[in-house]
Amino acid sequence: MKGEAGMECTLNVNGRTHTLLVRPDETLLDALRDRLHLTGTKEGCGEGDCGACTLQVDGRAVNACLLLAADAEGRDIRTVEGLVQDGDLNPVQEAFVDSGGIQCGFCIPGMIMSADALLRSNPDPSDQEIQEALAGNLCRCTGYIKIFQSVRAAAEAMAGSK
Amino acid sequence: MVKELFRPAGKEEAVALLTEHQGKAKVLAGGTDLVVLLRAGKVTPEIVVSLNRIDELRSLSFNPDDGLRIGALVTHSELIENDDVRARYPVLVETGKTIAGPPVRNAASVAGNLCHAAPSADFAPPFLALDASVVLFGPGGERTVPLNEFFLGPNQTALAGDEILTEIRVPTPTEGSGANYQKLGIRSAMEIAMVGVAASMTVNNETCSMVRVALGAVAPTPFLVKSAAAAVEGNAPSAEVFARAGEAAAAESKPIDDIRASGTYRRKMVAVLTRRALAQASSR
Amino acid sequence: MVQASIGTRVPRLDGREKAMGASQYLADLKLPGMTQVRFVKSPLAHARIKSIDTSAAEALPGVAGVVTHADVPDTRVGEVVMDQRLFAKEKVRYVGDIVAAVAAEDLETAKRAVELVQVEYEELPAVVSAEQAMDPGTPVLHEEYPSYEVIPPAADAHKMMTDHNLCWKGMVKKGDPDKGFDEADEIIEDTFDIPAVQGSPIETHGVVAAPSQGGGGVTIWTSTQVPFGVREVTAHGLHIPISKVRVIAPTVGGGFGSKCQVWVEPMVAALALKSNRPVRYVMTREEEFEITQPRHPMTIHVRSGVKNTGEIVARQIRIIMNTGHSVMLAPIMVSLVTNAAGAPYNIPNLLIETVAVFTNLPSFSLVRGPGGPQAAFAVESHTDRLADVIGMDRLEMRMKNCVNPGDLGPTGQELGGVGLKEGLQKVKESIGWADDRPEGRGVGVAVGWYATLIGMGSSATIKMNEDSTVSLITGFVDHGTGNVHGGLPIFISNELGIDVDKINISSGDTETGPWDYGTVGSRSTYNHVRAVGAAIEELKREIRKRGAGMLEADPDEVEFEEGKVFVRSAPDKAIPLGLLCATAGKPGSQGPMMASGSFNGPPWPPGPDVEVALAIPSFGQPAFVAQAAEVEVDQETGNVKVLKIASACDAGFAINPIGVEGQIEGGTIQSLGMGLTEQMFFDDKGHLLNPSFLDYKVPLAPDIPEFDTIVVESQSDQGAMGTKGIGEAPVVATAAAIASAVSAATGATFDRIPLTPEYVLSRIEEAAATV
Repeated sequence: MKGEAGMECTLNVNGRTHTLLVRPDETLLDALRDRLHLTGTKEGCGEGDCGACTLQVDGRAVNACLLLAADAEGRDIRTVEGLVQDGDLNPVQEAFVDSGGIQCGFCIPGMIMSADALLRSNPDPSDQEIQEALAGNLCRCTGYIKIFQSVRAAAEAMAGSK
Repeated sequence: MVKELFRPAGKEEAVALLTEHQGKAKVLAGGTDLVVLLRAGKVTPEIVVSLNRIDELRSLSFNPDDGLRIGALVTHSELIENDDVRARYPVLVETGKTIAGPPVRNAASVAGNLCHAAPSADFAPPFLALDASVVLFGPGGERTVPLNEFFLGPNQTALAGDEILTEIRVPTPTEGSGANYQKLGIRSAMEIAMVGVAASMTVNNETCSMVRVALGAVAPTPFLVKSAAAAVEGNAPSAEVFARAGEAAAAESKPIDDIRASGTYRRKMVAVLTRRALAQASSR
Repeated sequence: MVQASIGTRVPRLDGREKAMGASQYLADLKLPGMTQVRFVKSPLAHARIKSIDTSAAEALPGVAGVVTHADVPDTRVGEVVMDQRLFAKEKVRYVGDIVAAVAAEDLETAKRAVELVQVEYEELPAVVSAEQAMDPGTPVLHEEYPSYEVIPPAADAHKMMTDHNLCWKGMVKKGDPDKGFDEADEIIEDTFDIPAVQGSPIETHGVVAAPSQGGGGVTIWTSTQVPFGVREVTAHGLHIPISKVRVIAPTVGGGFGSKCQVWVEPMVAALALKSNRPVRYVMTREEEFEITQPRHPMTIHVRSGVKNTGEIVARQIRIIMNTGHSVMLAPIMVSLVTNAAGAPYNIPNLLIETVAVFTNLPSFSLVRGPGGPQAAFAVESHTDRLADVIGMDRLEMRMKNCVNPGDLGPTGQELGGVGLKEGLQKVKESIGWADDRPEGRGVGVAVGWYATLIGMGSSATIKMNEDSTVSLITGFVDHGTGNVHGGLPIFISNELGIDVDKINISSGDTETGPWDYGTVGSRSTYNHVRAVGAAIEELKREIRKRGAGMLEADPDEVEFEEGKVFVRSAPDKAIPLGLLCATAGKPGSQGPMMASGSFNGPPWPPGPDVEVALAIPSFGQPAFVAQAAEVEVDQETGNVKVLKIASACDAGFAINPIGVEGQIEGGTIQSLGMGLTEQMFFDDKGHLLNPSFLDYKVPLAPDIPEFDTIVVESQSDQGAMGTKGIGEAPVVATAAAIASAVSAATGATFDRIPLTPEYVLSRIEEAAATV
């Protein structure tokens, strides 16, 4: 948690600019959760091994626990909260709900951020591409089967709405 | 505890900071190694110098004269997705895809994989096999170090405390050349190699030349195995020749026992993977 | 969303807020003035504590409080045997044993304070293996074990636990094993070793505790499967009246059994009370590996007598469990693994003996399907050997010996619906059992069961609101399993004729929710549907009564559907159900309608002609699994690639197929992890060598093979609507099926898991050397 904060930094999160004081070695994960109260991004290991803290920086999925907050200045940061528009889930979130991709839900924000990043760059991924894109996101509940189905369903929904 | 994070805009400024805080500073690029170490208290620098605002270090370029030049901030993903790299250095793409998972690869720098100097660093064997060198920049200017002189020990490199690695340089592959990386892990991703073997060679007129074999995770540093290369050099590619090279590589490996595998098994696998890497490299 | 009928695919009710990142898990809670907790943990596996000095830590600016054994009642706690100090006092018994807790304004200060606590130890030899523990020459871990307080039903059995470092033991005996072996044509004997593995929920354990306003009590938020258990142990350990302890489980991020033990909550609560501040403790991943309760390592001996016709006529199993430093739920565990090991064969002469011994390792306890995968790996690998020896097809061997409806389980209980052979047949077809395969490929199959834990109660309250919505108010926890958010909404919707999205759920709070034993042992849907059903019956009576008053009709004439209530003869004059609860401007209105119900499974005693010495002698109807795998083995590296898994589970009846499939898929893949990649490594001093997700390897997305999920519905004669508890069965047999497939692909046999490349290669080489 917080601790002594000495550095001012300006973060662009979900399209909004926040100026905050952080510790020099404070991770983006801690800054988002403790200072900006964006707790949708989860900590599962703090070592980059589980992917629960995955968010998007400049459109790519990255681990928030491996970035220093002050070093993320100037980058476009998107968290799971930023996918929701006017209270509506985005198609990836919707697909995870409807396809049974969610059980305990703790890995889900990170999983959705990875899936969303995949579908933005590759709207029609193969099964193997889906599996590889989610390789950094551990899930212990679902065995991933319904998560793969969710991503496929999201791809189809997004293709259909175009 | 880190007192300050610096984000210099130029490499000269970065080096000046390192000079001023010699021994008390750490360099940050992708952060995927350093931030974990900081958090665990395994490194305790007073200052951290981030290279992330030094735009010139983001460059990734290829031309036939200079070969491939990979700036210090180029991430694993950027390397893997680059068209020139895909066309001319497929071994780097294959290797990159075996490292961690996409969220780490999207942040981790290729240079950082080398600077962290883990014995199992996946990029080290293919870069060694491709005869890469690294450009180090310090107060006295630039120096170029062949990669096979860069690794000094586990987490130890030829980088001085006031230097940064600015670029990885890889020569243009010659006509008829091929390279391959074989990695043995337990899972399909997020794996530290139990053994990693890279091989490269040029095959012309049924003769192997410019053969290089590099091993990872079976010695204190990744290294080139000259005896394995020599066993192939000048010969026609054949299963028998590659098997002999595999035995030579195994004999030169010095693997340890740990929870990931025993030394005995690792050595045995060096032979198998070397043979496979050579066979793949020869058929490119 | 629409009214759901039973058996339809309905997304879980909390899915939307989870997908938005809006659900509040433990680590997301913030209370004003909250401090951060770190523990002082033993670096030694076994040592006498000579002194503890907390003065320097207490003097550090920013420290809000330090707690040791001296600050809590001089008592021991436990769920069966009271063997645990809240904080270590006389001895530490494993690496990570908690000696003190520190609360500070921020985590950094708390960590510094931990380093300032001086503990002087006198190191004792560490006992890390079960074999060592049973050797009379090794130190005794619990010198005063016989004198510990025990819950009454277990007291007599506890008196018999007198062997060296013995924690608990149990046995079942059916028929006459000696006679059975005499009748056998072949007798085969094998020994198997299974290492410790971890439940590894992605959310680590965490606790927030705050002193009650007005004093004298404490409120605990905790990532738990058993809030009422937390309340009881905390009250006992801190000598607080139980009514003054309120426990709330927020959204829980997975548990797999690892969150059904109670031990850190009272410690964190003690710190809240001493510092008179809210305190927060969230485990690091490293701590999650080091101090929570993993699955038991076991050594299992199996000996069977088989006829040349394939009939297994006698079986003798001896299970040695390394149970770690503390009793925790070992008496229950011994019962569960004993019952699991008898599965799922109809063997007339059977003897299973199980012992759990203390060692200086973390306490091992209940992890999803406790004992099931260990027993199945041993029993199934051994059964393959029986088939091989008499020259029978391995799958045929199962068909021949598996239980049928009406057969008796190991404790003599009569089995109702048995969807095992149907499952076997389906996985046989799915995996292409008899297909020709290239060199290096093979298929394997394994079967198993896991029984629902019965005999513990559940209760629920149902409220009909003014806006015609329904609230379910209960102490149940849904840590991802779907018992509350997946299955019950369909049931309630169907029973009350209201849309699923008109159902609100308030769960996991011991103060507002009626009692529940906890979400463990595949018992939840089995119990909860009955408890909620009883509440709904009560509510229906109230609806009819109030409806009759408002519609001026006889209660028997009152009906309701689609959120409306009406008189049977005049359906066009229907009024919204909520009107029966409306209060505005209605003198004498009674407000929302509330009704409660409870359920406790009837005792289902062991059958006749069996000897049973178990803490839990009776089980609910088991769910059956038949799981098949196809693998490809790299014969030079030993690397195993699983190409396909077919996983069939007999769920009795699937109320919500999405949830049932999710349990099958998730459980099966956890078992795949056990089969191939997961194991905890301890050194001979009891230190865990791989406390991270990098080196403790749970399966990842690219590791998942082609997968066929098969739901079998045998209609249990016990559970509501024919359901069985299926949270655990899917985890049982996959590791064994993979081992069987690797054996088929290589000609080697395996006496331990996981099948790492190095181990597989060593067995291939040994098999080649013996040819």
